[in-house]
Amino acid sequence: MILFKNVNVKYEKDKYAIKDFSLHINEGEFVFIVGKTGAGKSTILKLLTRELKPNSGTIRVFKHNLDSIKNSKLPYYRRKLGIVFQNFRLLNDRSVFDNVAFAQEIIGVSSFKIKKRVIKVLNLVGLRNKYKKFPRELSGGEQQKVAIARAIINKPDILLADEPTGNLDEVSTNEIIDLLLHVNEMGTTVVVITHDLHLVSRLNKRVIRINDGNIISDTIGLDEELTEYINVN
Amino acid sequence: MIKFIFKTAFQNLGTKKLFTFASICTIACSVFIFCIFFSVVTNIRTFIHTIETTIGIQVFFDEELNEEEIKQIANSNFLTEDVKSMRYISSNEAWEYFKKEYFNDRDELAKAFEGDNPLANSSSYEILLYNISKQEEYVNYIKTIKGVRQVNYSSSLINVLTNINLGISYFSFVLMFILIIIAIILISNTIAVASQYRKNECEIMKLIGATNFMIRSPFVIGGLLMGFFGSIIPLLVIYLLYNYIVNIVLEKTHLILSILRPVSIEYFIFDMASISLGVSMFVCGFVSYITINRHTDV
Repeated sequence: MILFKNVNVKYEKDKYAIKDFSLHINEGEFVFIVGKTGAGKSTILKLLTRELKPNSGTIRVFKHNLDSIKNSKLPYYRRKLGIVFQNFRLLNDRSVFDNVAFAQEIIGVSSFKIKKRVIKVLNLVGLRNKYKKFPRELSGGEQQKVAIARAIINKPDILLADEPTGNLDEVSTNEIIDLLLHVNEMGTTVVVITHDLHLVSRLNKRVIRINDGNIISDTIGLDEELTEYINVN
Repeated sequence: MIKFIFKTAFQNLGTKKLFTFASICTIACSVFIFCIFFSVVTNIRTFIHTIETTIGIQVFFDEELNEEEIKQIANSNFLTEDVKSMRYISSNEAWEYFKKEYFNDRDELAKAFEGDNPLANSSSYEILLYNISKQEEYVNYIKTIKGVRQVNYSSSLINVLTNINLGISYFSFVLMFILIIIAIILISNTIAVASQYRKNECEIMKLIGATNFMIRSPFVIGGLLMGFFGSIIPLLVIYLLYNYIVNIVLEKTHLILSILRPVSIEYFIFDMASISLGVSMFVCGFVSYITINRHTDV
């Protein structure tokens, strides 16, 4: 479903963000991508959303060749993705309902269908009773749930989460991870980018570790080195 | 989708109310000035047309010619393709008209000339042309005909009015050009500020699959709305103001009513409104489109 083949991205001359990067993620997988700051995690996310084009190599997602996709086809490709950001990126001048409905409005869904779907998805994330609230009136965890609701309302094939628990306390982190697991159980491929190794260690999921733009390990659960690091810390 | 686009467009305009207000005011000023000049030019044109169709060329003949000879000269020479109508005015008819017009039916003055016609030998032909621009050429032709003594026509008045008309047109064009440039700068700023304010929203829209059309159209609709409101307000003001002024003119200037009667606004409001709305909405929509294309990287 997601295929990176010998992908290179250069930010400056001779300075690679990712180098000769190859990766394959199957449909329905739950994958963590971990690594230090500057390892190349965000570059992978930007390549997947096609905010960034590779200098060389091939990226295929579904039937789309992201290195050659036309700009006119890009919106339709992006509709198959759901994206969750570390800083939520909600619209602060709109209510919870409007923030979630926004994702449906821009793809031209009718008002009647939007209302039904928004209520359903807010039920799923446990914010049904807060649909009139504005982002500033919610906790960080609740704001992230709104962002997840917005990301999944269009029923994406892939959910990309960039440090989704980065700004959250432990309780909220667990709630968000439970939610992402639930979304994955419904059939959506979930790719979570994080540097929170404690979180990753609690789940027995595929972990791709990156450093300096290369894959160091690709394991189920943390690799030996990281497990040892977690145990020491 | 339409609801979303219009809702977002109004939100964009509300983002920076002062910018929006300034843009609409500038457009309104331009349209207001255009409407004033349009009204004046229409009235002058109508006035010229009235002169063209009511005041003709008057041809006088050599004194020794009798009525039959005059009519023969006219019938065989005057009728060309430019002539709309021609009418013989006998010296008696001319004198009766003069008495009525200048003595105002005051019999004591007319009695002084009893039994005498000071305008004897002043039989003439009044000729109306289809197109006043042919007048000079036609008059020159008439002057060459044997038996024609004198030709009277109102070339100077038409020329003065045509020049005033041209002057007003040029002046209004320059003024409107300056105002349109100011409006373009202000509209562009309003849209640029709105797009900066909504940058986060545009980026989210982009990432969740909005097309360029969905991202940009609210800004273009915002521009069109500014053009619409910037036109409709001065049009309403002009409509009320014009009728008010016309009523005053009609009340105070009875003497020149027959020729200088102001044109009813209903006669030209459709043309004026179409041009104002069309041009201002086009300019605003186009400027918004260019600005938003520059400020959104989709």
